[in-house]
Amino acid sequence: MIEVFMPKAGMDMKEGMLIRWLKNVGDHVELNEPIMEIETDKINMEAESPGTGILLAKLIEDGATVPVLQTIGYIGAPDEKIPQKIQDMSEITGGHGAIQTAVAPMAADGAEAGNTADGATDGNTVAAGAPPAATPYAKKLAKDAGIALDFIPPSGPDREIRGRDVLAALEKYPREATPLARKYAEVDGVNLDHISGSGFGGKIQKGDVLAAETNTGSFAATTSADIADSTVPSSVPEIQGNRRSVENRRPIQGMRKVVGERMFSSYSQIPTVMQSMRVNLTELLELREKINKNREKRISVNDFVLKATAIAVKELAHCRTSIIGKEYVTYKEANIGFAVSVENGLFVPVIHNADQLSLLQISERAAELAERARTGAILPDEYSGGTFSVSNMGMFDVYEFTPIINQPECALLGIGGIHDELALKDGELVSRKIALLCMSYDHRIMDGVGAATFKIRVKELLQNPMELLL
Amino acid sequence: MMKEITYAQAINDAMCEEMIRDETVFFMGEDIAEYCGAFGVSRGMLEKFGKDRIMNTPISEQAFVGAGIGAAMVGMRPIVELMFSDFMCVCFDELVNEAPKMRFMFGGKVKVPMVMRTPSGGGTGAAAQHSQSLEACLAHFPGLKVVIPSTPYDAKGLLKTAIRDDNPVMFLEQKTLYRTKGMVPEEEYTIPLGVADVKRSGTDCSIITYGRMVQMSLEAAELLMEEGINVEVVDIRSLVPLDHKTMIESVRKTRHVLIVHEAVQFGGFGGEIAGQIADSEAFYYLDAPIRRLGALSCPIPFNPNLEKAVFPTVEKIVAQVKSLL
Repeated sequence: MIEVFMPKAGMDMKEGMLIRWLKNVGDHVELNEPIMEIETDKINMEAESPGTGILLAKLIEDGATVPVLQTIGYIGAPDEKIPQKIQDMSEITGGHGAIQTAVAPMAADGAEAGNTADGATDGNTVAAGAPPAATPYAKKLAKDAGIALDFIPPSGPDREIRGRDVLAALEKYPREATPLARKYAEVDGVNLDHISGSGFGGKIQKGDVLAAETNTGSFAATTSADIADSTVPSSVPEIQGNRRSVENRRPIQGMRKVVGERMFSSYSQIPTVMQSMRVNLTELLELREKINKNREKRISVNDFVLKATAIAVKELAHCRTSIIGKEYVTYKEANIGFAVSVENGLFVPVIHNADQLSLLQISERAAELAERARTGAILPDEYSGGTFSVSNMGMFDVYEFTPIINQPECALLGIGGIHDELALKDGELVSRKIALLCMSYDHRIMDGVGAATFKIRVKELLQNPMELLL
Repeated sequence: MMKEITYAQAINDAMCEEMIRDETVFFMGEDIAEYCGAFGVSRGMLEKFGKDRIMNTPISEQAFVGAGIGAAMVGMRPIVELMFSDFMCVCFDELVNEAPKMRFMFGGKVKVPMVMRTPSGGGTGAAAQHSQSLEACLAHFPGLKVVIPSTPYDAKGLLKTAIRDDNPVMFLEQKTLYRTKGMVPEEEYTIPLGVADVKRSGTDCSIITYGRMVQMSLEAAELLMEEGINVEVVDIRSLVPLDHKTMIESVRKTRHVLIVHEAVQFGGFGGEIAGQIADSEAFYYLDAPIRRLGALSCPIPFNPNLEKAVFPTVEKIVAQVKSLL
């Protein structure tokens, strides 16, 4: 018997959504053959079979989100029985409905042959459709704990779920929490039973407690009634005099959730200062025109910026410095991240050792990573390990903005749009191409002078673009 | 100081104390004077209080219950005894159409501070017409209070309160309990009506009961405890007024409830208790259906073995509790 589990596709991955199974129960599957498609908080990917055999059971349905490494299916010999344990699954967060198993049809046949008792107690089927019979107390316990009754095995004489069954399910899947989360919960009077954990194996972390405090609706959304509420659009204006009416409600999840949490964390924890500097890109644009002439894959302004940033970061240690715990940690590499907008979120792919790459290499690498990010094919290692990041809003006609630092980096360099400006050069009126370098920096790591020193160096490189070709 | 006395003596003591305390209290019924009542409850009372206050009556429940109501309306506090509670059916008009209505129909200008005492229930081989538990009928009529004590202590304290009450109180004694003994304070005490008594505290299942079934439930609880099932026994003591709060708190705590009474289960007072639980916040804590255990729907048989089969027993209580868990 081989367990199929939700893969952990990166160090940061805490839970995964099963987009769809690629195999049916009863299908033969080969080791390493793709059997399902999953969505992590950052990408969609196919996941491979952990073994060869018959797919005996699917424990979750398409669309369900479960913690990484949770068992979600079984592969084995055709006559193998799946473990009793699957009946005890109580933490399925999206899989309402029947467990699909290869033995279910056999049980149904048995029932038809008059062997109803055996069929009913066979243990591998859960009736679809009708809600499970449960005592009021069991329902109350399940509701309070935010777990579904569907997968709790009943022990009542009429096959109803009793309170003890819910308690047993909760015991088997205790609300594990980090000591810090427990401390926060204790101080703030939050009941951990009501929080879903985002850590390894569903462990409750500090962030989950804080999120539960600020958004009491988040755990309520795990009850089926609330899920039903959230998906039914409200067509009737709520209350007269209440000028807002809800168009729809959606759970905060997936990449959007991660992006939101990281932004909030950065914005609320870092003493950020924003500093702008004008840069004259006239010469760079002229050089770029010449380079791109007859080139199929064009070098972008952003590629120049990445290269200039990489050089400056490599030269200036404070731009490779993070605060980790109680220490300043300076990294050796100039690993430059750049923000890529994707559907429903953003990625920051990282070009490692960008200072050592030529402009052309940077351009090719950036194009490749951006494409992989947009198609969801990017690998975890391709968006981690950055020491400094860049965000270019020029193509969206943004003049100036205040970026949020990509923790734990020390700063984020934003690039505004290029605009024409008239100036006097040697008494002559000339037109120049100007852009704004908008940098947010962590004032704990550097001061105004440190930030300006960095930008002056970037500006110098961009205004003398030949240096970037060396 | 406590002393051990019988249930019958506790009732006797309560009546005597109240008669000494209040001259308007008097006692009448069939064969209660020289014969001391069918169960010997009024032993010694004729000698103590004389014929004017301890009155034998003809075999005419309508007449002497009616007389009691009239006496109560003009300022006396009569205690009337029916020899068997089954005989209340003979004077049902007086008990339900007169006694509880007067105070309301006359706009509070009269009151009926009468106690009707009567031995109730079976277990004595007295068959169909002398073994019934008819409390549910009485509890149905607004204006009547209904009390059923299960111990000597409760019997004395509750009867004293009943005698002092300004409303008609139906005091249903349990004939098989008359000879049972219990500790009773020598000092004066009373027990308010409408306060249940948790006779045994437990965690796994509540038995809500009263009268003779309290002792039986306690025995069942001891047997169940040997199997690790910790039962709580709630003695409601008075059906009207009913201590809603204690019942609900108990069920909330144990999440399982068995209602036991000796009266016929069908249409019995257990249905009212079940309804009140189902209608309360205790509903959300129920981890099993609300279960009732009463007598079978059958006139009480004369044959002792058959009689036993009709009534709840310790074995039946044990089995019902187990079926709930």
